[in-house]
Amino acid sequence: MDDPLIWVRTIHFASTLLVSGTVFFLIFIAEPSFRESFDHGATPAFVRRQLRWLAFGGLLVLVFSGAGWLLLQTANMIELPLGDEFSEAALGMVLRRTGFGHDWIVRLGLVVLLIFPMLALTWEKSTRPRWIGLVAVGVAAGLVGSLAWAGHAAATPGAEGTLHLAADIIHLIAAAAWLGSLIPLALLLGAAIHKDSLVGQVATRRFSALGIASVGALVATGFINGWILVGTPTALVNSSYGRLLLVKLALFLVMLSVAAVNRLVLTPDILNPSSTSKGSRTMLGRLQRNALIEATLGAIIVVIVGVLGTLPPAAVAQ
Amino acid sequence: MNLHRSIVSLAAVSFLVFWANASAFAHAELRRATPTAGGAVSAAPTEVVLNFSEQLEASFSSIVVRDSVGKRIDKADARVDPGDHTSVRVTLQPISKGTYIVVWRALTADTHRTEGAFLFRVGE
Repeated sequence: MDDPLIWVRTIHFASTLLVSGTVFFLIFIAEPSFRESFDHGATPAFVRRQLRWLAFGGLLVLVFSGAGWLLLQTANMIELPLGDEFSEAALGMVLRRTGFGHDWIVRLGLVVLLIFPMLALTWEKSTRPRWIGLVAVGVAAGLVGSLAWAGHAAATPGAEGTLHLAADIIHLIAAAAWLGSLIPLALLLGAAIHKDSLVGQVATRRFSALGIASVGALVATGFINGWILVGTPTALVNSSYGRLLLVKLALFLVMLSVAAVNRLVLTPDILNPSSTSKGSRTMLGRLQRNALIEATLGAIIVVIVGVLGTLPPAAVAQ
Repeated sequence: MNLHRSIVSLAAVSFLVFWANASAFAHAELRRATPTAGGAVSAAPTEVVLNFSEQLEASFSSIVVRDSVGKRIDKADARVDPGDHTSVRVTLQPISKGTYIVVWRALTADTHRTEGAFLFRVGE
């Protein structure tokens, strides 16, 4: 637990999920909600500004934690401490000659590519060409999906390795879409409560759909990854990796139950046309609070992922 | 509220569980060695081939073979198979009867290190 690599990975994963999730949220939930509720006034500008701070703050953390990850990983690979006279040569070697290094360079490029679209999309004025949104979504998906090459999937051999990579990429994108958009959702709901509850209702409905799709993808790809990395139910219980995975699963189930409350209890009330505006605002407030609870659980899951990456897959350690 | 309490206790349990468990072990397992680890061959081998459970990073994986007086008898040309990155091989100089030691280090494609050593005998 005192391995700094665990923490720098955790922070990097969390900030990547947040940045990509914010982009997904903006394109698939926020902007359509503004359009559908015919709101072109103060609320969209306010939300876009908040999301800009969130996204760029997250991007800054992403870049610094990414640099830290490269440094710590290099020191780990060459077994010499940082600052040693060989460090620079070692960094060059890792960047040029390892899969981890190549992945790092690609992801740095994607960060750079994301800056302009993210600025354009979070600009307060509402008109922008459609293709910017598509580019942003593509780059954001690439930024989070390419984390697969920095994990166990990159080392699984053969055809199983290809399946593992594909499942991992989808798993990461789905995690960003769900976990990463919880805080943006909480921000939008806060704005909707204070200014205009119609945007809140539309966003709730859209987030529901996104949540269901993401959870479905997470479960399916999580099952595939778990089968490849753990292999048997006994390994699940008998190895550190397996036991940690069980904790991750338990947290996921708790998140799901909160999401179920959101979907089955709060959402119908929010979308009910005959509910009073005060009643809607109360429900939106509850949804906002639940979104933050889920975000906290999600953060713990990311810490577990940070640890899991440093452990041998149970199927190998057997 | 019940939901909050269960969340807090679950979070506490998680921290305890992974506090107790977090330690890094070796990753790439040596699945097969030619010549066999601890075995004997009648004819001197021309190379040593090691097969692992995971894909390796060529730049950070190596094999060194020494004879019983510690002299290096491999040609320092250890390389990972380009097709399937799970094996690494090194060519040997001509060797005679005796006991030899293979010392290997592997770095997997997901950046985890393993190392190991084994003996093999040539003759009778």
